[in-house]
Amino acid sequence: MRGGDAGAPHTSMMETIGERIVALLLLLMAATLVLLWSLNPLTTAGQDAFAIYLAVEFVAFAMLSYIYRTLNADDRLSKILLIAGCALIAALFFLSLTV
Amino acid sequence: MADPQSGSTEKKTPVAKLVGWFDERLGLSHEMLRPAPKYSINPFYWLGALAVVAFVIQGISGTMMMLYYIPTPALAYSSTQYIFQSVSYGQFLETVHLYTAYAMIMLAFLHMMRGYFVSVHKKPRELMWVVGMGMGFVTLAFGFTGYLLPWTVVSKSATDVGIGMMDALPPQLASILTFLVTGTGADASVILRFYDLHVVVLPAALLILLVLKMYMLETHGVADPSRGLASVPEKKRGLVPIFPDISFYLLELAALFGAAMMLISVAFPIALPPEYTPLLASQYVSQPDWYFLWIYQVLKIAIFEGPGLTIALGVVSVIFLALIVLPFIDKGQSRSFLTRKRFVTLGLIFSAEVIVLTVWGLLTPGKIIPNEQAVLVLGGTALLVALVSAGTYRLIFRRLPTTGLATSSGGILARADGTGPRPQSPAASLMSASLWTAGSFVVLVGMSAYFIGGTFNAMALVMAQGPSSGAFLLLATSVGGLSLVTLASAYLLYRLDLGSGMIKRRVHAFEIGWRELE
Repeated sequence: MRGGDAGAPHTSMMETIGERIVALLLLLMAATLVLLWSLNPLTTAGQDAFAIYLAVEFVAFAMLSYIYRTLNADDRLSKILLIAGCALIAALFFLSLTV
Repeated sequence: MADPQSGSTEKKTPVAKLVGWFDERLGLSHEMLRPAPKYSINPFYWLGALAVVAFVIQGISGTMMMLYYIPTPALAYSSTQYIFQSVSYGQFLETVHLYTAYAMIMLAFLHMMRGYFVSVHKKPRELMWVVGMGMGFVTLAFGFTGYLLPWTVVSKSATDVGIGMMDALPPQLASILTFLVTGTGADASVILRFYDLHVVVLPAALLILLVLKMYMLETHGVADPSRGLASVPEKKRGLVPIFPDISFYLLELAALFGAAMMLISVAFPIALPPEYTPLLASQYVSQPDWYFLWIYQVLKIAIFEGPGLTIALGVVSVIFLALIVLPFIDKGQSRSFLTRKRFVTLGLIFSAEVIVLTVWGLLTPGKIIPNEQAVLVLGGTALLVALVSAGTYRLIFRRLPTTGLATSSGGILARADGTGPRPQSPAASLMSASLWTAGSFVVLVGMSAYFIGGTFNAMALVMAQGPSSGAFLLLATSVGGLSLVTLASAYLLYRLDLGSGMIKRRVHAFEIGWRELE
């Protein structure tokens, strides 16, 4: 960690939350990557699902990057952003079921 | 981040370990690039970077399409159709390629307008602006050349209109452009030249200009906020390294932008229009793509028909030229919009006219615009924007202090030693408290313009068609509405006067005489 009060309780709690979310996001990205290879690339539905799963990968990657950058700078993770990111990913998965 | 040389035993996250592994080998966190101010962790500072991300996505999707595309008049359409129907994820590639092209143009325009309003073009960043304008023109050229390639009736007809305009240029310029863009003029020559320009010349030109601009960005750094460092919260005034802070922030923006492009491509998939044939083209109204529509709408004004086309192209060229040489026209020291009333108003008028012309062009495909209509719409837009701008400056901005604002010289790094003028508070609270006034003023000006237009319309109806109950009803409604707006304006001015006491002072002066007041 860069400077700051690295040992403060709130920081370590956020780090723990961040680490757990990172693990989940990595798992999710791996699972989505597998899904990407299981689609029919010539049908409209397959192409739509591909685009949605790719969007999930991008959002998950953005969250990973945000968590790393924020913890590295000893800043607080925004709960709103994390919840919004998770909600977006969930919405995208629901959307993929409709195509 | 723990120093890898120090043998620190601090616990690291898996991501931190991964980043550390690369950092240790590539030396990313060594001071390769100059640090950036913390306040630049804001999407508005990176609109140009997002345009570059769009360019990268287009490069990837375009390279994949190049594997199947054949640039000849006979096969261009069928090869595009093949990509749509038979190539894995072909429709997705085409859709993403088109929408990222649109996004790139839109982002480039927003980047330019933001730069204009916050005066990033001032000393010492004049050449950055000029190079950026060059990149903007290359981006538009990407759109122009790429639009023809599918060889659809839509794209070929629109491109023919653009090529036809070259005849109105001065002969020397026209002959050079004809050689570069159309060659012999035969379809085979045109499409091959457009393809070469689109996939070789323009990407190379854009990359060269990008390297130049990045070099200058590294030299001059990110510009201060135009309203000075005092407008930035204390915790955001420090510097952060490019790696990892800014780099990872850009990755986040790029990933979110990519996700948005994916979702837009799902929501609005494109379909391939019919193939170009001269017969089909004769039944089709030629219309350029939306980003050229504002220029096309100017050319459709009746006065610019026929020989007037040269004048119209001259007018458009002058606008572009003025944008390129802007740093050498707008040379004042101050970068704040508070003290750049004329240029800010001009920028607002330009933006409004571009939007109005584009929407107008979408609504009137192929129609010649009567001169008086053009004067009313374009003049009315300019007048309305100028009035709103003048009113906002007069009633709100003049109350804000203009000391401590950013100037064209120096910057956050130049002030690191604590020398130079110390910025004062810009009274942000006063500004936010006055926002309702600006909103009310905008609404009132809009309503008054509407009612004035209605009044004139009713009077014209009475004169042209004789007295009728409908015309009188319209006249009565418009005059009544105008009266209400006038009353509301008077009330607004009275409310504003509570702060400054200007009106009260003048009324008092009128009563007792100026001399006595003095």
